Amino acid sequence: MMAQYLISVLTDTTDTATADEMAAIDVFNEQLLADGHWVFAGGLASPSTATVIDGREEDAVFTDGPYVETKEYVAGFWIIQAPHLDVALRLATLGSKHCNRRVELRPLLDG
Amino acid sequence: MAGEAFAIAVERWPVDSVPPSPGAWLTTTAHRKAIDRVRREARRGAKHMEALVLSDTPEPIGAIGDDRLRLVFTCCHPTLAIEARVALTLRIVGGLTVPEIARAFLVQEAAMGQRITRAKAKIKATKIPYHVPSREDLPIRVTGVLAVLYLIFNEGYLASDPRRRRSAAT
Repeated sequence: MMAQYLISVLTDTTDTATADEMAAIDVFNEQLLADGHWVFAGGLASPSTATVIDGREEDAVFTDGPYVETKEYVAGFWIIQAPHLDVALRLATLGSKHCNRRVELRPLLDG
Repeated sequence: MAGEAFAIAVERWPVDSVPPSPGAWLTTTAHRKAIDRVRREARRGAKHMEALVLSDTPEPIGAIGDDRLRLVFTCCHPTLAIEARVALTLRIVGGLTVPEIARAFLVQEAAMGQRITRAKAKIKATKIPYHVPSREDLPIRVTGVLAVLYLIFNEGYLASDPRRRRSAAT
């Protein structure tokens, strides 16, 4: 039975991935697919493109920008599936190596 | 038996001093157990192992060496903070009570209880597995266990300081 994990790619610069980094990420993604660990992945537009929405009241409130201004932020993510944490750790380590960034590994709650 | 060896080490190393190659000892032991792993794990299900870690009063595990070694690797998982690993190992593998561990760390009992509870919750939520690590993970995982053992033996948690000495009953 597989558990799902979120791997968030962390960055503190506005530099996007270099060509080498993109190539390495492609290699990593193909390995994830081949080994059955791939669920979903994507790169995120910069935090300045974000909008915070509060739809709890009758009139929705929109706020320009990320929900919190931080030096370090999430630039992209993978969602992987793995039987247990040791496998997820190994994959997250490879992901960090391939995209040349620090990553945060976090389990998804069981559906 | 590997687990028996670990139990003996915990008792004898403070007296005899740590062997010259504790890493080699642990690695050799774990390699041997890793080969037996598949057969053994068929007997001891994941649920039983989870109960051993999550229960507040662990059942005596001295007689079952494989379980003890697996618990060592679980309690010393690298995703747990080092203080949590030390506290969890002393509680689950060493069988010390929370008050005893709190005294050894010179922290409040409630804080130590929380530290152990949070560590157990992380093991459960992130699905830290109850097994001797795979061959490729073994070197780094043994390093993690050694870090815990170093702190236990060198920081004096089992030192001859009578204020920190475990009760003779253990």
